[in-house]
Amino acid sequence: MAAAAARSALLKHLRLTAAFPASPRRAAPLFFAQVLLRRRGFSTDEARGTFLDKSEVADRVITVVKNFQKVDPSKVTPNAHFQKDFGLDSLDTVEIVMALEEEFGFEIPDNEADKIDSINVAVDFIASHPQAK
Amino acid sequence: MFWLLRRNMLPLYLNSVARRPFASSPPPLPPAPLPCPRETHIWYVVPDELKDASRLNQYMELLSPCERQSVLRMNGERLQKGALLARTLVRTTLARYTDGRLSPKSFKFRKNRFGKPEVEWDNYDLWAPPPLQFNISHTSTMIACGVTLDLPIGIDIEEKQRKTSNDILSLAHRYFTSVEVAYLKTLADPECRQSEFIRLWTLKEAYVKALGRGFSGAPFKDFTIRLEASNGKQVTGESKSDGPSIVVEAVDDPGILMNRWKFAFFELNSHYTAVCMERDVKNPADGENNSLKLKVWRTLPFVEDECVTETDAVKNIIR
Repeated sequence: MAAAAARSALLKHLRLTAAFPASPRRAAPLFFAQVLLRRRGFSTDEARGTFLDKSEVADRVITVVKNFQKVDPSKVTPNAHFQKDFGLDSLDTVEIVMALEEEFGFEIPDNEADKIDSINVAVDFIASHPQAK
Repeated sequence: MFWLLRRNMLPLYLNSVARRPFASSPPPLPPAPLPCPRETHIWYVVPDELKDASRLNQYMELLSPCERQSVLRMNGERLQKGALLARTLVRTTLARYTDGRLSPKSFKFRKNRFGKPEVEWDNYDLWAPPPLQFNISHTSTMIACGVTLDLPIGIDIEEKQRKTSNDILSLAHRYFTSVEVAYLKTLADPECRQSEFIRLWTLKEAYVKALGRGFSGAPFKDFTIRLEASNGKQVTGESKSDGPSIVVEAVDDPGILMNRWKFAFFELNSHYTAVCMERDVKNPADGENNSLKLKVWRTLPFVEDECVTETDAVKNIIR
């Protein structure tokens, strides 16, 4: 029963942080949460790095891409491909990757960045990355 | 444009019975002598010079069904035209070196295991096709195809006026080596820094494309490209002594130049153009083998070809 109480306290905490604006990028976990999760064998780093909601990631990725000066905003769709839809080249893609790194606060390794050739792939990659904020 | 209507008629390409017959086959391309072992031949096309819809239709007929589909998948007329001209340029350029034996349409292509496109030659009874290697690069205003005889080649072009969204040094810190960043920092003038960044970028791209292992196969941070003065000292800032040469070295092994590769960097039709080519080791190094020889043609396939090697179109060559 103590575990259930602790769990609901933890969940309450998580709900509260969701209401906060995105700028305090790292939500400091409750001491409670730290203790709980340590007991379960999770590291607190992983606790801080929760996965982002995919549709939120998609909205933010689309905004970053629309703001890129070489992209025609009217051609931006969730399925848009950097080369086929926007005619972007490797330097453009690298610039978009840098903008995504800034937006989501983590570094994308080069061998992964190489595969990011469309909005879909960017969204999938970021949504599955616990370091994304 | 008329040819875009084909998008709705795509199945016609796959059904040869329903296909509209050609009034006449395209005229043969003037044959070109093969590149010498130390040479890179470059053929380039300017998309804006081609406005004739029937000419573009003629080009479309040269492509494989798969290539046509890729062209039509591009979003919008401008991107479709660019994709079409890129494939046309590759096919027509390679055909020139087969002494009239192969038409542009008959070429087949495959990708090496890292994704670099290469020619897939058929077996011919009485003729050995030349072992041509090629690479292409394009911007919205120019498409270039480099060809060598049996030597890996990479080419990259960028518009001279290209601007970046991010600050040059941020980009350099993220993607370049510390030697390259230090070099860029010695340039006080922002325009000079901008153009030197683009120069380094195209050279690094050309090297990666020549290697043929993809961006992640040869990460930009693993190798430095720089100018080495003829007296062996590194060139810094604005001081370029006579005959500096472009060299590449591994970050893990500084001071050991990777001599297997030679470079050329020049301005072509208002584009910065970088070429990287493997040195011909079958012919042992002599004085002449040290630098990359270039021959350049401007083309409108089946319309006109112009050799521009010794003209103003090709400027400020650094090797």
